[in-house]
Amino acid sequence: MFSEYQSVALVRDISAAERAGLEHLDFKCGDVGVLVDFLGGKGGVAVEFNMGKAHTADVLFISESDIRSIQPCEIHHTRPLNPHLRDTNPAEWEHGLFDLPQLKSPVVLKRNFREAGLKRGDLCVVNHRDAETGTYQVRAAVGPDWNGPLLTVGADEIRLWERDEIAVIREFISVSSNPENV
Amino acid sequence: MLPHRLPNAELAWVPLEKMTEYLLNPLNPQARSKPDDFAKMRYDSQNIDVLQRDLISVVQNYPPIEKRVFPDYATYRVEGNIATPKDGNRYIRTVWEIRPDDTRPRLVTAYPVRQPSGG
Repeated sequence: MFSEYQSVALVRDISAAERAGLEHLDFKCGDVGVLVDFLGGKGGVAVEFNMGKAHTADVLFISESDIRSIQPCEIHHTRPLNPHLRDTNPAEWEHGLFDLPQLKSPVVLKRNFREAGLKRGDLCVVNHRDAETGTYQVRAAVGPDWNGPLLTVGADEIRLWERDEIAVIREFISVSSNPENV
Repeated sequence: MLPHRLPNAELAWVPLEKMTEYLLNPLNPQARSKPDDFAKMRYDSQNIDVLQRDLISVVQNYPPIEKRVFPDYATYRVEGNIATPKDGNRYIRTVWEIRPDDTRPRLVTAYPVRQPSGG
């Protein structure tokens, strides 16, 4: 049913009070992590929640019944996890390495792109940078493989995935399947 | 009470696929930032064995900080500095699993964190 290192989404809220994780943070239904291990032999799993700029938010020790696979019709969106992570998780040595989006960098849309079915806060991956025009071609993070539509955006229309933001799933309605856009 | 040393620390192991499929795998969409963690410390697919060795050194040189006991397994959090291929030490948080039927500590995950003050 599940495989190691696949992306999964929570099917329920998991509060810090449950003490399911290392950092005691609140997680919400739809938050996305990576199934990093099967634990024991009775359905236990470890799910690691990554944020932008190569930071780990937390590792939860939960059950397979607490997670589900990411569907092809879902897009990765971002939400701030917890402001105090800015103090507990930063790594100063990284500053300066990712000031500009690099090829394959995860980035966040700064505005809605209604014609593509994308919203402010949706995650994308830099596919190409046109040095001449200064524009970026990004691919929307749709489905488990982040394989959504391509979009050309200006440098001021995207930003880096921040280290206090976690990925969360939302339904993605593609242009072709959205009657409003046809 | 936590033990001063992880049980069977000398038998700790890191599955190879944990390195190739996750910690150092830039192709995993959701964890694409994960290898950045380690790339900044100059770990990559060319020195997998070095990272394996360094992660095991954490569990062999530092005491567990936290233990979680479940009906069919236990997890331990162990943190400590590793001497990275890049100059300088980095403080790493590691998670290990021990099962009743396999008491060798096995790495679940690892990531760098800021060293606690006074640590």
